[in-house]
Formats: sequence, structure tokens, C-alpha cells
Amino acid sequence: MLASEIVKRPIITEKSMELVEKQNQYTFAVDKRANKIQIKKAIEELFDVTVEDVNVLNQKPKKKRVGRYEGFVSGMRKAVVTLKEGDNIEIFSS
Amino acid sequence: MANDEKKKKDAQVEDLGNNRVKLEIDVSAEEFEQGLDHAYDKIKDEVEIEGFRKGNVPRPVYEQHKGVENLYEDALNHVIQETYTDVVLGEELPVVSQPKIDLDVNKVQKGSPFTYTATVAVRPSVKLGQYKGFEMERPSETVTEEEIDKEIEQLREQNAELVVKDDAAVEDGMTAVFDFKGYIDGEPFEGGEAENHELEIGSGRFIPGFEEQMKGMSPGEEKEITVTFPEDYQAEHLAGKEATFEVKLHELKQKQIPELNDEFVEDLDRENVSTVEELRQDIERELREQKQKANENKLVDFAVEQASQNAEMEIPEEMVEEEKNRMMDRTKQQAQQYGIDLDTYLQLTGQDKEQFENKLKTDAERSIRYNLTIDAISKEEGIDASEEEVEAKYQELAEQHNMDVEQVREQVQDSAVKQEVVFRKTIDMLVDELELKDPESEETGENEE
Repeated sequence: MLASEIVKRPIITEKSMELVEKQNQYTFAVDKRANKIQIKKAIEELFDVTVEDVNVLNQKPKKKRVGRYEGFVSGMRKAVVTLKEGDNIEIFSS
Repeated sequence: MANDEKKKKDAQVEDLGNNRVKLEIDVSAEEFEQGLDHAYDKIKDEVEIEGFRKGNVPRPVYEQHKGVENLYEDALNHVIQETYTDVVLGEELPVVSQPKIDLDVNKVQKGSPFTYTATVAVRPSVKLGQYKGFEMERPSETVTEEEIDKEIEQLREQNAELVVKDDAAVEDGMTAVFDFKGYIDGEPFEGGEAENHELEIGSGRFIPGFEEQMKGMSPGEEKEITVTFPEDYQAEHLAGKEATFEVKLHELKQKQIPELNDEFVEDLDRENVSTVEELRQDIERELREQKQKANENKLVDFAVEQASQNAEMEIPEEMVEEEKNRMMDRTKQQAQQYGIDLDTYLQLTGQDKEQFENKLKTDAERSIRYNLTIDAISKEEGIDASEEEVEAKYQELAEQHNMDVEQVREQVQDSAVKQEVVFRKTIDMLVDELELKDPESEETGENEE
């Protein structure tokens, strides 16, 4: 898989911004099939940084109902990437 | 950022002449960044972006989503105000008007410095001419017998009573109570009808000829009166027309002016005044006080006017304009206190807008000229206000406005009060220095108070 296929988009929320500030950890939505090693390589390739650690989690799809229609909010795989001290990823800081 | 005194900023100052200066002010990237921070602080509470609670969005995230340009206007306002004030303080410019800011908005960009210019009017320097020892005829404060008589006549007139006269005929000075109904070409017309109308005969409030024709009528009598409306009558559809009025006179009243005797004086209910003689003295005292006060003002006006005419200065247009606007606002406020707007006020006082503005402009110019002159004289003479004098002024202000001294102190700036005292002292000095000449050219050579 291509790096750009593995990493879908950054997740920018209050919580993720806090992780950036305090622990130099960056959160991304990634492809469901990707493993930690692929994610590490993809991030290093895309942003030219050194990744020290990758944590992943699967967010389950949720059942939602709008009136009488039932459906799902799609789930996703999230990766929290810890970078080497001093490295950073632009899109999070500005 | 070379010097530590960050608060006072440098700028290129260019003298444009005519009491105007052009300031070229540099804004560094850091300063603009502060401005952006300030601008964002203002809207932060209302910003909503997914992933963040309302009001908790960091500025970089906001900028990414909505664009930094949204912040420019507020940021520029803030930055320009800050840097401009710092420059004025730093260069110690005696600024007297709002600055005119010139800025190429296209050059403004986050993260890079830019430059703007501010053109502003500064306090003109005053070249004083002669300001002491003007000659003036001493205004008289003697009260003549005629003036007292006139005053008493007025009092009697004011206290006149209307007495009903049944067996009299209409003549000048009487007040008639009557019904009237007017016809033009046999048709009644609007506004041509009234009942129990009161009219003082000889007052000329009615159409010419009307009052004359009523003369000789006695109460109860009916009469037809024919008059022609004047050509310049305000109601155009009536002007120049001939009208017939049916008039029915109900009552005649005669103004009765009270006789001048002790009883009348008693009725006036003045303090310590019960005889005609005492009344005369009382009125004389009153009139003299009025005159003295008026004379004082005359002396002040004369002294300041002369001094300011001899002084040379070029007053910048902006200064006049701003003073004019201040005066305009004051008038508006006054009008508002009576519950009317400016236009209505102007109408009531019979001025049109242009006239009014012109008058304000002249007033503003004069007031500035006076102020600058007095200020210059006080500096020339080294007139200053001591702390006690300022304190006393505060007391005075407090009494005038029925407030605590502390309250006044909160609302009024120290420097303003001080200036007021200095101005007062300067004016007093100018008045003292006037050479008062007695009218009959009896050269006494004395310079009395």
C-alpha cells in the first residue's frame, strides 16, 4: 500500500492537540488494514520525521437512527504516533 | 527591539508644514502577531469548530479553517492604535487631532513587517504680540432713574389684571372674547372659525383690518367684518382673498395696571421690601449687580480678544473641525434633554443647518484661538497652579455639581483642573493689566480695580 493510502487524515481535536503539546504525539485516521509497522513507515515518509512509537486503536462503527431510518456511523482505525523529541508535523501547529 | 524602553516607539517624522506632521511607523512581525492574538481573543468565545468545545479553539486551528484574513481588520486596528500611541508618546508630539492613517492593506501579511503612515495635526506654535496694557473705556455701572422706572413699569405690566367691562366699547388695549366664522365667496373655510377666542385689540395678531373693524362693538353685539388676506399670508390658498367674518362679541376685558403704591409693593412679596422707596432701591441694587457682572464679562472678552488678535498662529483645519464636532455633540445632547432631535431644535430656534454649522465653525475657531493664546501667555508669564489652588478648584466643582470631592476627582483629570486654574489666573491677570479710561476723558491716570 502507498503511504498516502495508509494515512487518511490528521485528527485535530482538543484532545489530540493536548497530546501534541504535552507528549509530542500526533493522531491520524489510518486505513483499517494497516499495521503499526506500515504506519510508522508511512508517517516517516510523508512528513520526514522519526517515529519512536505507534499506538493504534479501532473505533467501532456506531448504530445511529434518524427517525425511522437506521444506519451506521462508520468506524475507523486511529493511530497515535510518538515522534522523536524535536520533530514535529506542520499541519498540527499551524 | 534595540532599546529596552519598548513602550516608546520611534518613527520617521516628516514636517509637512502648516502644523501637520507625517509619521512613518514600522510594525514588526511580532507586533502584528500580538495584534492577531488580540483580535482572536475578541472572537474566541464564539468560534465553533468540530473537535473542539465552543470557545476552546486554538488560534492556529481557527486560521487553518477560516483563514487568518478574518482577523486582519481587528488586528490592524489594535496594532495601529498601540503603535501610534507609543510613537506619539515617544516623540512627545503635541497632537491635536485624530490621525489620518494611510496603509496599503495588500502589503499586510502575517509574519512579515509592514509600514503605515499617520498624518496628524499638531498644536500650532503661538507668536504672542502685545497682550498687556490695552486701553479700554471703563464700562459704566451707574443705574439711571429711567432704567429703574422701566423696570417698575414692567413689574406693573406683569401684574396687570384683566377686568371684565360690560358697558364699554371695543378699543385698543382691551381683550375681546368672541366667536367668529369666516366665509370666502359664501363658503366656510378651514381655520376660519373659533369660539370664545381671546384677542388683545391692537396687538396685530389678526389679519390687518380685522381688529380696527371690531372697534366700537359692545358685548353681546354681532357684526359682519370684511377683510382681505394679505398677499404674503402664510396659508397660500387664502392669500389675497377677500373674506367675510360673522363676529359675535361676548365679553370685553380691560387690562388694569396696578397703581404704584405701597400696597402694590407689598403684593410683590419681595424680601425686606414694603414701600415704593425700598422697591426702587432694591431694583437699583439688582440692576447694578447685573451690570457689574456684564461688565466683568466685557473686560474679559476685550482683554482676551485683543491679546489673541495680536498673537500669530496658524490653526490646523482638523483642530477646528474636531472642536466643531464637539460643540455639535453638546448641542445635540442639550436638545435631547428636551426630547427633541437636532433638526427640530434648529427649526425651533429658527436656524438652518448651514447657518448653524457656519456659526459653530466660527465659534470653534475663536475658542481655539483664545485657548492657544491664553495657554501661550500663561507659559510666557510662568503662571502655574499650586496644589492648594487645584484643591480649592476641586472643592468648588464639587459644590457646583453637588457631589463629593472624591467623586469629582474620579471623573475629572488632574491636569484638566490644573489647566482650568491656570487659565483663570491668566485671564485675571490680563484683566488686571487693562488700562481703564473713564468715559468723560477726565484723565485720572489711576488704574483702579
